[in-house]
Amino acid sequence: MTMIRYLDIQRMSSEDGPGLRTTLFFKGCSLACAWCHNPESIAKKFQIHWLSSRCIGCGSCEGVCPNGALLRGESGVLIDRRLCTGCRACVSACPALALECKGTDAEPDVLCRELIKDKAYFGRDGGVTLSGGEALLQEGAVELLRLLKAEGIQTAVDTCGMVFSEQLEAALPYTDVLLYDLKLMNDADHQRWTGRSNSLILRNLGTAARWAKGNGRLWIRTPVIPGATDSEENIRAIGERIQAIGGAERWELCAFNNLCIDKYRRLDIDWAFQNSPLITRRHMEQLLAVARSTRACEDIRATGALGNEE
Amino acid sequence: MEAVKKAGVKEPFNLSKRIEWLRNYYFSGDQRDWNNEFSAFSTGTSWDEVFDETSFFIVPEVYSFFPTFRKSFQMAARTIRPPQGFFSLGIAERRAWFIKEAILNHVPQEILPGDLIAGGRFNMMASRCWSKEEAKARNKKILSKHGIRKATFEFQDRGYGNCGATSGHLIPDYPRVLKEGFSGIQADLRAKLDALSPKERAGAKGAQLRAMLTSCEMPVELAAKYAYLCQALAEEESDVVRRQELLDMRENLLRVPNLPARDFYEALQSLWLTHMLVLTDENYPGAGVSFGRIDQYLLPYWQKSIQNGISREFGKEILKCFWMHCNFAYDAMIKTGNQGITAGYGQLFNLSGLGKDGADMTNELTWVFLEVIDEMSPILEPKPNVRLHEHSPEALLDKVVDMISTSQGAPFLLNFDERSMAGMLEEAKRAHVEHLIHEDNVFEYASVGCLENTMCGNDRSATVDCNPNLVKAVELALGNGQDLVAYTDALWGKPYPAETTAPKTGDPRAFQDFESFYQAFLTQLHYIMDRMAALYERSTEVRADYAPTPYLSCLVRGCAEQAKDCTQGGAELSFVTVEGVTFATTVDSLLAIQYLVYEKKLCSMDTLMKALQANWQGYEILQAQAKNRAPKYGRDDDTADAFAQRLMRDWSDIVWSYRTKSTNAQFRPGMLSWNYWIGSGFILPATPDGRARGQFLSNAICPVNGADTNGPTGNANSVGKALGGRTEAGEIVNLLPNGASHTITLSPSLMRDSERREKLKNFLRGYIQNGGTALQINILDAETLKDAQQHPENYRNLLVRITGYNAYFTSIGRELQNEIIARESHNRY
Repeated sequence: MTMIRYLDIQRMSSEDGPGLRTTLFFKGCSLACAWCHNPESIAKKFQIHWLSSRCIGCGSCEGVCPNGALLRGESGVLIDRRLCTGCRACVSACPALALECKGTDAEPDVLCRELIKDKAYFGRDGGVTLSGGEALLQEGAVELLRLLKAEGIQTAVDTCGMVFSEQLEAALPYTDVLLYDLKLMNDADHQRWTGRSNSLILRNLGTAARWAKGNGRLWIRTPVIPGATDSEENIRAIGERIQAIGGAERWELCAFNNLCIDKYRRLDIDWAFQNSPLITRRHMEQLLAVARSTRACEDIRATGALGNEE
Repeated sequence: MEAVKKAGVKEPFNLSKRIEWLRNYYFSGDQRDWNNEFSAFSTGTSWDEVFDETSFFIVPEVYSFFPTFRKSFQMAARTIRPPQGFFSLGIAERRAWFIKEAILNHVPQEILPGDLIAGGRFNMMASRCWSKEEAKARNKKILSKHGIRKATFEFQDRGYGNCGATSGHLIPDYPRVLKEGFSGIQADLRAKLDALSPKERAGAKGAQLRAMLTSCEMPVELAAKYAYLCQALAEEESDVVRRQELLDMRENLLRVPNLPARDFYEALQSLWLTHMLVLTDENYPGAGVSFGRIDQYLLPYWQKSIQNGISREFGKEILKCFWMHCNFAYDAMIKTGNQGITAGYGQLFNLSGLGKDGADMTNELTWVFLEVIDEMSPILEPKPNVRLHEHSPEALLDKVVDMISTSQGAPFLLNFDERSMAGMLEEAKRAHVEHLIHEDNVFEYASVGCLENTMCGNDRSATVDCNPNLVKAVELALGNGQDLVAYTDALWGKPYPAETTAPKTGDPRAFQDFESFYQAFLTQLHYIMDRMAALYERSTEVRADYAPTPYLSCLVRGCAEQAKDCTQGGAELSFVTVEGVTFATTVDSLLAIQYLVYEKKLCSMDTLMKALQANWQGYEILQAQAKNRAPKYGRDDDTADAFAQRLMRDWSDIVWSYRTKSTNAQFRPGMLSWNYWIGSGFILPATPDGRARGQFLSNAICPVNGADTNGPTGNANSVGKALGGRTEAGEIVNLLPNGASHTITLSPSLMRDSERREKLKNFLRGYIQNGGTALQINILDAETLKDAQQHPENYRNLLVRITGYNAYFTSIGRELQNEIIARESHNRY
């Protein structure tokens, strides 16, 4: 069976679709959004994290790296990312779980057993969500969805849309809810902020909409990022597109959050949004008004934390 | 009216001027000119005893005050001269007479302004009424060099835990008083006394029944006194409305609790007087004396009153007065700080739950109670417990979730019927009492104290009397029957001798496999239970011989039939509950030994023992491995949880093998840790799970703090499995008839809108399927988050989640933690 490389399993998730859910975060993404709140999910390769708050300073990790990628200095553990192969020698040596390897490989049936442990809590509307990273980049995702459906589990896929159309089409028959990201309508902006053109995303959106008009549930999600996606123009353009294709059940404007700042630090990435403020309530309300004016769909709402009014 | 949903601390609302005044008056604490402090009374003899410490053997933090309490209550006591021939009566007869005399003629009757229910002062420390010889014999048993007091202190000081025959923790047969009145009970007692043979009548049985007959007069005569007071107050009252209220109260009191109640107002007045006198009789302000299924048995009275035309609001107003009366119980020690409020009381009641043939019993009165709870809270007494089951109506869950979301924590405990009832049926089978607990009545169970499940009106299960630290058996197995560290007398700091009487289970360094260690552990667990059962026997025997509660016995089915006091095993169902403390610490310690020593061979048994003796100092890497690498109970790991269940089965089998000799009470298992898991954490040495001395032990059935890394659902699944999981046929199993205390913390973000609250309902529905018997929900707040900053090791499971982003609070940087705390404080979602 095809292995799935995943980042984490999040149980009792309230934010990844309807009801209570267990979410599987895949590792590896086809986009590289500058604001990404799960930066460790972008690269498919294994990545080592050092968590200073857990480190007991015992030195067990010293000298265990076969590639000499790990260094203990004054300020803690440093990892030379060019040399690190993600072999986990240091992770195994750490008694305190201060060194973590981001990324685990598992077969779909093994994951399926783990993901359905909370079946009792899913109720009528909850279930399992495949998120990421980008779930549909990995072949194993479809197999996993099939297994989940065979167990009677309601499934959701959270996708950025930047996937092979065949893969999306293969997944849809086993998908109950599709959470589909639309970030920027202007293609130049899309390329600038995510690294890729949005043309394939928009094409796949058409496929998703057709599926939704059958009996699928399509939720559009737009991250509202200060200075990147939060213009009225962009929101209006996205709303008009949603209205034009039809079939969407809900559109969520997800407020930017900066809680991932440490993750960037741990990956030694200088994050462009580290000093960006949260979206204010007033701004979000303005954008909501714009969104609603496009009559994109029935249910349009804002989610996430908002900043204090200035 | 709906609760006002606003950020910050929950406030009471929708209170009338009357209730607001009573509530504020209560919270003005020792500034009040009236209170319900203990009043003490003595027979005036030189040998008299007033304070009986046996009720407090399970409260280690007051051990050092025993001599002071004993002397000061003696000194403060006013004398009531007993009548001629007093000491030739049985002790129960003497106590019945004395308490009745004290409450009627020496404690003033008062009614607070606006109050709609009579029954003010009731906290009392009354003479034990012993003769000189009795006092001497009893004191020898408690106070001598080898007496119970010293043995109890040593048991606690050496980390075994505590035990003692304590008061309360039962549900009296209140519905019978409402239905028959004390006149009915009295007639029944009279008939039973008449049916005794002359020999029996002259003996203990006759004395007990006569004592109970005297006790029955107490509430009736007290009601008459209050009726007189209402009359007098009404005559002086210029306000016409208040005057009428007082006259209505007078009418109630002239009827109840002597005669059956006819409507809701009479029922509540009857219930209050009857209940408060139990606290008087036990000389304890409500240690878990609980009301049972109050929305069920009060329903006919409520319906009658509504038919008679009282308004729903007035019904609630009477109920709110009742609420305030329950709180004045705390006044007992009002001058000791914090208004005398301690965690040691608890007048519980249950709402909703299953009925016959799987019917849901939510009724119109359930809703009235829920509204009153919502409008009155935050307030401590009485303590609501809402029973949920698979067919609980959506509307009830909506209300429950709504109330949780507007409070810092649930203003009630949740009880889960299917798991709880499975435990009660297990009890019936194990104790051969299927005629008293069976499929057709098990749904009538209710909770006492904190959450302990019992039957109603005929059951004293002594639910908090035995509290052993299970993890002590790990220490004794490691020490081959010896303590791993030196223990000292908490009072004087004198070291105890190293010897113990624990069995030599073999040098663990020679054990070839984990199974050998586990068998040694079980032998030591048996030893701890032997020792506890023997100590408890002494304490319960002394109570049975010297400390009857004849009034309470009138309210417990079985006592009149057997002509036996309920302290002597008179209740139809007489159990002693063993509340196993430190369950998860014990499971994790055993799992760690298996992992570190046998599976991964990360250290030798010798090294582990040295590390524990050194409190992990110099062994930090091993400690980190024990903490982080060894498997843990509480994260839905099937292997670890299967081991937890194995231990639960073995332990509960041991518990079921004991019975008291003096009161013929069967021991039964439960898990509630009150505050012991904190205190004993400073006594017991480091444990193999990585815990250092001074860190908390695990609480009740909860996983060790921070071990539940898979969140609340994983935690709940583990709890359900540890309790017995399900049979292959899918039937819920519960090895703990008493039930088990389970607390979880949820993020307020789960309450922020109706969509999220729907998700919380799903969590509760899932808990009904997979979780434990009882659940307390805390809503995480800024304080908790701040504590998480200080003690990240306890909060590894604390998830901060805002739109798609998931992070453990403790794994993010300090600045961001501060920012989240600021957001939580403002509740700005």
